[in-house]
Amino acid sequence: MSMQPTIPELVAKLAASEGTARLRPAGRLITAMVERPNAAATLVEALNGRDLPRPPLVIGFTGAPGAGKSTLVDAVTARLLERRPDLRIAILAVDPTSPFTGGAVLGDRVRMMRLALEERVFIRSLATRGQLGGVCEALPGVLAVATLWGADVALVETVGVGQSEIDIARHADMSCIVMAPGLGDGVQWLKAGLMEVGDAFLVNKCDRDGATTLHSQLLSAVESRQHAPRRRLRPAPVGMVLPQVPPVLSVSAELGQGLDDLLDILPLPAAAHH
Amino acid sequence: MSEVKNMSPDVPTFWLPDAAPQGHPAAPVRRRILIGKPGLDGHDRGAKYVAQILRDAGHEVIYTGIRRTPEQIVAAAVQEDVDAIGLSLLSGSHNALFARVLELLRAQDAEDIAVFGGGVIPDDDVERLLALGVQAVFTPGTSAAEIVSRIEQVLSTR
Repeated sequence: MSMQPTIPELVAKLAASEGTARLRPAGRLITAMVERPNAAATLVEALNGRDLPRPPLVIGFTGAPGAGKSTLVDAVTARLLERRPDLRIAILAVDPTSPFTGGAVLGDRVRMMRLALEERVFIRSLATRGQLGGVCEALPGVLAVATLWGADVALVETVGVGQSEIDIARHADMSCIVMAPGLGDGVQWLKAGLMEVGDAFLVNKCDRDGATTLHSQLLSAVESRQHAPRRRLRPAPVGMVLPQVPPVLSVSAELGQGLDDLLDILPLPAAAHH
Repeated sequence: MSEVKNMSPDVPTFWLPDAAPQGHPAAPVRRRILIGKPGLDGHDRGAKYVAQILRDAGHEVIYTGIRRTPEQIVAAAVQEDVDAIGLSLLSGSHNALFARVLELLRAQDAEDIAVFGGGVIPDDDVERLLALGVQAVFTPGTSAAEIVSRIEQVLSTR
C-alpha cells in the first residue's frame, strides 16, 4: 500500500492549491479526520495550536427518513448560491452504518448531483460508524476541514431520526427540523427530545394533503411553549438572535416553494471569510 | 481505512451473519467505493445490487444515481475520497465514458482511485477497457462473492 500523506502535509497541500485542485487534499484530509486516531489534535497542531476552526455558520437539517432532508439541502444550497454568490457552502450528509457489517450505503448525493460541479460547493457523505445521536463522531474535525476548504456555511444533514437523536444541536448553530405530512398527530409534537432542539420547523412537501394541519399543529406546539425558557445544547453564536418562538415554515423542496422565507431566517454571515 | 469491528459491543459476535451472500468473509479493511451510472440508460438494478453487496461486505458505498456525467462522477469521487469507482453501463457507450473517467482522474491527480465496470459489455470491449486501465469488468452472471473479492483483491495491492 502506498504511503499516506500526513495531516500537516495535506494541510499544506490544501493551502497551496487553487480552484478545483483544492478538492483532492480537502477530501483526503476529511478521510484522515474520520480514520486516524487523534486526527483532530494533530490538525490543531498543524494549524499552530489554535482551536479546531469552524465555518461561520453551521446549520443542521434533521428529521424522519423520507421527510425530504437531502432534497431540501439541495434546494436551499441552489437558492443560496443565487442569492449570495460570495458564499461557499459545505454539505456534510450522514447516513447510517450497519450494526452487523460496518458497511453503509451513503445515498444523499443522489438528490444533489446538480451541485457536483459547482465550484462553491463541497459535498461529503459520512457514515455514523456506531454513533447513535444522528451524526458521526468525527464531525468537528470534518467541519474544520470544510473551513480550511473555504466554507462560509456548512449544512449538516443528519441520518433519518425519530425522537431522541439530537446530537446535531450540539454541533449546529441552528437546527432545522424537517417534517412531512402523514407521520403523526398533535401528541407527537408535545414530546421531549427532538421537538425541544428545533430552532426552526420546516413542513416540507407543503403541497401534499395534511400539510396545513401539520403546520397548525406545530405552531400550536411551539407557541404553547413560549413562556418556557429557551434552552440550547450549544450556545448561540455571538450576534445571533433567536426568536422566543421557533418559526414554523411551509416549504416544498421539490417545487421550490417557501425557500426564500427559509433563507430569510438563516443568520447568514455578512461577508465571505475566505 | 480502518479495521472493521463489531459496531454494537453488546451484541455477541456469534450473532453476526456472514457479511455477504454466499458466505463472503467480513472485509478486513473498510473501503469507500463510489457506485454510479454514467450515460443515458436508467436501468439501475445492477448498480443498486452491487452497492448493497459491498455494503454487506462491510464497505462504505457512495451511490450517485443514474444519468451522471463523467465530470460529475469524478468530482464526487474526489470529494468523497473513495478508494474505487464502480460504473454500471447498459447503454453501449462504455468505451467513451470509461476513457473519459480515467482521463479526468488523471487530471485531478487521482489516478490511485481504482475503476471497475459492470453491465452489458462485449468481450472485445472488456479487453479494450482493461488495456485502458479499468481494473476489472463484471459482465452478467458474475456472482456477488466474485465481485466483492475481486474489488478487495485489487484494492489490497494499492
